[in-house]
Amino acid sequence: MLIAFGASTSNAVEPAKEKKETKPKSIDPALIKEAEQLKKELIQLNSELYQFEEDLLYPANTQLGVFLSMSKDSSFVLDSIEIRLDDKLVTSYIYKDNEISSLKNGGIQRLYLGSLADGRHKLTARFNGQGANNQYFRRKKALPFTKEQSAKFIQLVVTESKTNNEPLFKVKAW
Amino acid sequence: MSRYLKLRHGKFVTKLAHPPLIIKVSRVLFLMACLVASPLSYSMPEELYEGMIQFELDRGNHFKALTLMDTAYQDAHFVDHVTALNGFNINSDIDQILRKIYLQEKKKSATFTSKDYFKIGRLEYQLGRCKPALRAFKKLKNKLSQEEKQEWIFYRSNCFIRLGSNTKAMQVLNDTVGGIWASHAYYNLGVSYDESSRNKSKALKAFKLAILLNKGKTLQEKALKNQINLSVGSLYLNAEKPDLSSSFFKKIYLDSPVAPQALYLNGIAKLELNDFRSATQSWFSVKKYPLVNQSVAEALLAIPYAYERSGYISQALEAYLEASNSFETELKVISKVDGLLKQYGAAKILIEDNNIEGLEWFLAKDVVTNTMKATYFSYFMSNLEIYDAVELYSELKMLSESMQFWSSQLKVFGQSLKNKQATFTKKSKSFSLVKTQKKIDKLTHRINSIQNKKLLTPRQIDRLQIRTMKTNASKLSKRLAELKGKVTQGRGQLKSQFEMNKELNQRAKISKKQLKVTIDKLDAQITRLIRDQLGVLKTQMLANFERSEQGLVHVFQDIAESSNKQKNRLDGRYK
Repeated sequence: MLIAFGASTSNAVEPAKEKKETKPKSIDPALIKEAEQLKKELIQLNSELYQFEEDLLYPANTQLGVFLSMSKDSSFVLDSIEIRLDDKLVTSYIYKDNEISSLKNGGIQRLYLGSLADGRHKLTARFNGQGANNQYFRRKKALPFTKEQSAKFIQLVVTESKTNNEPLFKVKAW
Repeated sequence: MSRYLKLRHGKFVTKLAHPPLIIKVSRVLFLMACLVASPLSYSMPEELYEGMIQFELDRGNHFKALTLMDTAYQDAHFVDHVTALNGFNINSDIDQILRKIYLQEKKKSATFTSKDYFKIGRLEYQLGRCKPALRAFKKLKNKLSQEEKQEWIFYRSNCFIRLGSNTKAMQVLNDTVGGIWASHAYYNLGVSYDESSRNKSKALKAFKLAILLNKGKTLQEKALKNQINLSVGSLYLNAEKPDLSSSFFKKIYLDSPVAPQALYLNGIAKLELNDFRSATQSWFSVKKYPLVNQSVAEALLAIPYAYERSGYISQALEAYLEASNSFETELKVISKVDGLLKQYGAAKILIEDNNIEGLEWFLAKDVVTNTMKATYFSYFMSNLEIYDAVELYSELKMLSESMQFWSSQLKVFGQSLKNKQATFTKKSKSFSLVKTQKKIDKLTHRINSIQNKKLLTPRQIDRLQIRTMKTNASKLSKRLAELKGKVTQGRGQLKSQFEMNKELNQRAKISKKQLKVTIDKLDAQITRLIRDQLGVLKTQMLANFERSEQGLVHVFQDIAESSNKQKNRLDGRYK
């Protein structure tokens, strides 16, 4: 009994070390290759499907895209965003930490893609989050714009005031 | 304002007073314009397009990033492409793309940013190739943010550890300022020192630095801190300093996955200090954790041992019996799980939600907050082969669901195209190009005849705006010719969209079938791997059971042998 217990004790007191185990059987490499090939084909197919959907539902002459980007030095922590088009909520988004860091690293998020008739419209974005000094912010930014016979892209940019470190919300129309 | 609206509300319409004709032309033109809308691939400014890909890449949605990348982007951004492929576990093309990158770098035919070098280094590190990783990491010193620098230091120090140079790893870590990356790096260095050197002081120093740099606030930091405390405690225990080890084991949170191990080892430390009572208490608290954890089994066997050493023979017997029963019950569970796996496969039993009858017991909650299913799942996932296979399964399932989604979308698109075609046909029927042309010709003829009337003075011609009408009539003629072209083009566009819809639908169907075949094959292989792993657990549990039975026999033998020498060993006290 003592020998048996002693052996188990000596094993157990070495948690940091890797235990030698018999090498487990693995997945057939041919199957992994088959799965990889399938993944590649499906990425291509998905890409074509997204493209087809975009061409069909949001043709270039009626297309409206709303994007969001953030300046690298912005200390504003965006919690969520709401986008209204002509006072109608079209999309909202709650952010995760990695998404904020991705935006600060130069990533641009497409918040909304839709079709819009020509003429005058109003886009309203509501930003909720925390600025410098953990101050809570809820800001609204409205942009009246005219949709013409071509695709319209609106980029919302979150930056920071250099004087008082307050978040600034800018709009760039493409 | 669009040119169509101008046409509808402008001077031309009111003066000529032919609204039905003009409105018809405008409507058909608008419809045609919608149909022939430019199908440009991601027809957006380059900056936005590239930013979108970066966003998906950085947030770890590699599949979406790959679907967004067109061939031109892939060719212009090898690093992003290879990062996304690696992220979605498509590794067959990685080496080929990396070779292209290195060739470009050698020929200086492309410029790489420090961000690119960081990605290359990280990729090589993940592929287990430390030398090229270090080469890439070397190129971006001083071009990093404070946060990135910590990650950079972590990878570099780990590379040196993998290459067998703890000293260089230590030198790299001298640059660090703190944070979770630094804490991880020091922990890894501590493990490496512990494994490679008899002198444990360096390992201890590294572990202690890892603790100091860890704030222990986030879940990740807490998990790492628990792991470090376990390692330091074990190190002291191995160095025959049980009093010191115990203080580290006690710092481990009870909800940590390493808690059973820590409690068990704490018992060992107490045992070495001859404090049987504390040892037993520590092992008793391990009993509430799932038995698939070997530390729990060891604790169950250690309790009767401590009783026996303390002279509590009847308690020792009871504890052995309890351990024996627990192992027997777990063996039954293992057999049941194995039977279910054999019958339904791993996907249905462990990975997906299911409504299989008789599975309720398996999903029932045990004494801890985990369900039995979660316990077994965690146990299997600790095997990297199984983990990778399940990850692949999830990816294929996600693709299968996306195909399912697109199939239903394509049905909707098909219907929408049918409606569009019906509207188009209807509008085309109600609007005759030939008739309209004739009307325009007639109109032009009338304007000409009015203009040619000799009775009209030039002033009267001006007042009647004859010239404007003439210009507008000729414009209308031109627009009608354009419309003719657009009608033909629109018809062709609609036809091609129909064909595209059909083709994509067909491809989606084939892909769904192929996916099902591959997923089924993968499920069979995962089931085999998990059943093998379950076999290992069964062997281990059988060994535990035998040890408890042997313990029982041993105690009985002991009682039998000592009955003549000592009347009542049950009077023993803790030493």
